[in-house]
Amino acid sequence: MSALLWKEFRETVRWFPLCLLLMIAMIWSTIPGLNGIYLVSRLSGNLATSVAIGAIVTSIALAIAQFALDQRDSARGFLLHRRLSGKQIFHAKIVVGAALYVLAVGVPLILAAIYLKWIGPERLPTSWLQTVPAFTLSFYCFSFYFGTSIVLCRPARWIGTRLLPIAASALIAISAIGAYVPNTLIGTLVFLIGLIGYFILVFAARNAFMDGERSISPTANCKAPLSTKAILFTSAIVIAITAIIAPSSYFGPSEFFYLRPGFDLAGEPWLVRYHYFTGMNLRLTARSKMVEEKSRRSVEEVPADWEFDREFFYFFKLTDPIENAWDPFQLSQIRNHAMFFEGLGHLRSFEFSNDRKGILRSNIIDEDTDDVPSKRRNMQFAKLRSRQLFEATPGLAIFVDSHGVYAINPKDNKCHTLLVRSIDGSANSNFEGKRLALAYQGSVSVYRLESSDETPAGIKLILDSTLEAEIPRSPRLTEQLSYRASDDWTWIAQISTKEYQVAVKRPADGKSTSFTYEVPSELIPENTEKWTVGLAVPLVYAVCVFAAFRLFKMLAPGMSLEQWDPMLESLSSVAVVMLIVAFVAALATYATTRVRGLNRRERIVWSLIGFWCGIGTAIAVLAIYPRVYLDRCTRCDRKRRVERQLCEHCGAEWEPPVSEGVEIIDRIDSTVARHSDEASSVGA
Amino acid sequence: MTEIAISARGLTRYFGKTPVVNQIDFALPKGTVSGLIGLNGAGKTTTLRMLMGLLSPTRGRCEVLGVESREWTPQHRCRIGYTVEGHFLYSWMKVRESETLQRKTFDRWNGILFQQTIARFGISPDQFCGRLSRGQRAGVSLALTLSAEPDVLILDDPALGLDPISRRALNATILEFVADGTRTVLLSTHMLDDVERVADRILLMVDGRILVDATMESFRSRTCVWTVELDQTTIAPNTIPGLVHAYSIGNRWQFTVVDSDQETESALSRLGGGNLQKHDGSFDESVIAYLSRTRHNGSFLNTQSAGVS
Repeated sequence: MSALLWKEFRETVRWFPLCLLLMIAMIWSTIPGLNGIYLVSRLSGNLATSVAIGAIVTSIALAIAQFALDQRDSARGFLLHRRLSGKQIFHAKIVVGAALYVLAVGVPLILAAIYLKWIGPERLPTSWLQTVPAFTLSFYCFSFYFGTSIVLCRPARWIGTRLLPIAASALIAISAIGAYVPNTLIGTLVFLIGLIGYFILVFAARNAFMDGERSISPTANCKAPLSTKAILFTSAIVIAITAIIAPSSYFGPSEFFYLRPGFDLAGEPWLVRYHYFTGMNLRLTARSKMVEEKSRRSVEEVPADWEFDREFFYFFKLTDPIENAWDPFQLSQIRNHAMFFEGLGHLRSFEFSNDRKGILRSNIIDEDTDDVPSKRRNMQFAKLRSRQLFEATPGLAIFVDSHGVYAINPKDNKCHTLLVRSIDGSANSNFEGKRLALAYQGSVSVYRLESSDETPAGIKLILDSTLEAEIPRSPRLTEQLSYRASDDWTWIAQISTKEYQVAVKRPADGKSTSFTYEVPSELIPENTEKWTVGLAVPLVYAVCVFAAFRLFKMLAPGMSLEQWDPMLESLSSVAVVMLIVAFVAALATYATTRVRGLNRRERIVWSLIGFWCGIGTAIAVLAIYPRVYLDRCTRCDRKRRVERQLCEHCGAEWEPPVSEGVEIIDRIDSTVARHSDEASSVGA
Repeated sequence: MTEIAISARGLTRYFGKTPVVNQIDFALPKGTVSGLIGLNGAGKTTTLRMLMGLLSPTRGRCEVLGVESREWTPQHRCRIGYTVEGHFLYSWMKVRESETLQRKTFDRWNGILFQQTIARFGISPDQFCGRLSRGQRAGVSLALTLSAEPDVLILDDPALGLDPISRRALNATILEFVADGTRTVLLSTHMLDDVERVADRILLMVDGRILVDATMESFRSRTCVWTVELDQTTIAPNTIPGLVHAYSIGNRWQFTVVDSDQETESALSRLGGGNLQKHDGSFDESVIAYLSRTRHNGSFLNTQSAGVS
């Protein structure tokens, strides 16, 4: 075994420097500080992406180096014919492949982790933990090594099903996304599913290597092992879905839209459709004035010179921010100040000399705990949720989280508590940072912010917040809320939206009136994606979604399932399409099973699978079962399968080939001559 | 009863729609040397690969040393020596390293035999395999196979690239190898004189079928050659019983016939030519007659010669 390991090492190690250089280059391009880029808040993701590209290339290169050459008939005969079993030879290969992979991918990553540990947290808020997703991904990306080995060892047409296992490898690699799933349970589940797929892939690769061409040729003795079937089936399903979705998303209209309420300069409320096209800026494409009478709901194009009134609040719900567990959370960057919550839980203020040069200052901002309730005294900043930072006064940052409002003064590195109150949503005002609106359970409070710097530099700034208005809040408020205040705060217009309804509260003839505004259908572009989903997604997916929804409703009646609504609505609207596609898939699968010569029972089973799992099943059948070759039966004169000993129609054995009349066939009980004498004479 | 070392029964292999090996049956006794002869593409290598368990038969079965090829254990494999077609060696390995790899992955190893064999070919253990001549590569390949002291030796075109001296040495080696009567050799080759020199039996493959499976004596005794001078340019093949192949150069026709008897002579006489003579066919001529049944054996350049099978 050691000799074989050495042989594999010698044979493969020549590719190692190239792989190592590639990985170093990929990591170098990502690590902040090494390349003049200081993107630390997305470092783990960027690093994982770079490492994934390098790791995939490395895996494929190693697999080609180890398996491609040994698949030649002569090389395979030489390699396999020894005391070691095919299994042992395969294991020797993957031990060497994995070792070189770990060296090529792992060593640069370890160096990167050490570097990140070394440069942070003083120079940059970095941590070695930011390499964890990259490590995870590099582990899962090694699946491409096995996928490539199956491609090389399993004979099939290159323009056919040969490359299918790469899809399964990609699917397994994607399971590394579990590192980013905020929910630990779901993340672990994703990891586990990926790991199970990994094991199946390894078994399939081993079978492909040991069986060689046996697994695909029409032979009486060999059938594709279960692991190979699983990998080919999964790959075919993935490929089929991708093949339908990818072109439509690539060639189709790459746009999305959203509706947002706003005010014109005259104070009239409008609902405006924003369109975002790929490669183009945001465009305001249509608007509808929100008036009380439904009959007057008209939609018009947005004039080119139309301007919003900028003096309004726009609210954000203070939900948990989208962040991952690995990177420091960058609150905001105001001018050359950037604020991060770094891994240790401190809020850090960094001052860049400019975008590309180094950091001039790195300060830890301490909590001013005087006014903080005791239960939060020892809570680190990193534990705070729902953060929002904006600049209230130049040089003074206002920081809002779900527990209150804080002023952060970079000059004394202190975080001053302004307000302690449970907050649902907050809004920065555009009134030069002088006002701050906070949403509570049933109302919105508007505060005026004032700061004074009466003392010489180095003395605390004094910040004051004064409640200016307390406005009842629409109970239907969900995600968006726009306010426009009158100059003297005697009235305020309020717009809140929920799905395609808008609650409007506006002044009219000196009085405030409220009404519901139905969004005109012309403002809502047709969702074309649902048709693609209907064509691509297997029926089993839709059934699982509906079943899961019902299950959640049964098990947890109080649980909010609002986020399921768009998905269920989309799937329901294309149910007929999905059913038609399912029938077509079943028919296609049945046709391919006939082509592959499966028996009646197998045909029915595969057709049912095709009905539920989509058109990919037909591809899977083509990949799993070898092509059938037929020859004429001499007894019944019907075509029979060449690999079967008995005719499937009449049960006849194969007739021996017709004698040509010149055969010389001696039975072995004839005299057997020995050449021992001749041997000695020739040898002499 | 004779002990069988290698056997095949109904062995068939399709590549696509084509049966490359078509229901062949043979049994090779222990202690013999058998020559497997056939044209390029006749199915020799495919047969050997199926015997070695490297290729699965479409149907039928084959056994070596009593075990079906698909079910060999590593220990069983060690009892069988196999040189692959083209004498494959890892070009980046030194000869010494090739030996180490082989030595450590076979149960038995005769290091002295290996040294002696490569010395015969003038090969140094420190030479890189990639820099060896084709003949030297064949030498190393044979040395690697023989030094494992197998019970059965399956050689796929071992003489490819060997010079006459090396070929003679190879023949001598094969004969020495089977001298004690316990070992068996199956030799696939195009070198007819080598087969004639070392083989006890001949397996002759034509288009995936075995037309001859016989001892050398039997093959020689049952085939003969008739010559006759005729003015005809073509002959109906079915008119002559046992006709393996007939071909002419000018007006001189040569008929290779199996199991020639009075009926054969009468049929040839009825052709009406003169100077009808019977000869004991040489081994080469008889084999070539069989091989020519599916392929024209005249000059590539002209059509003066004609053939009938």
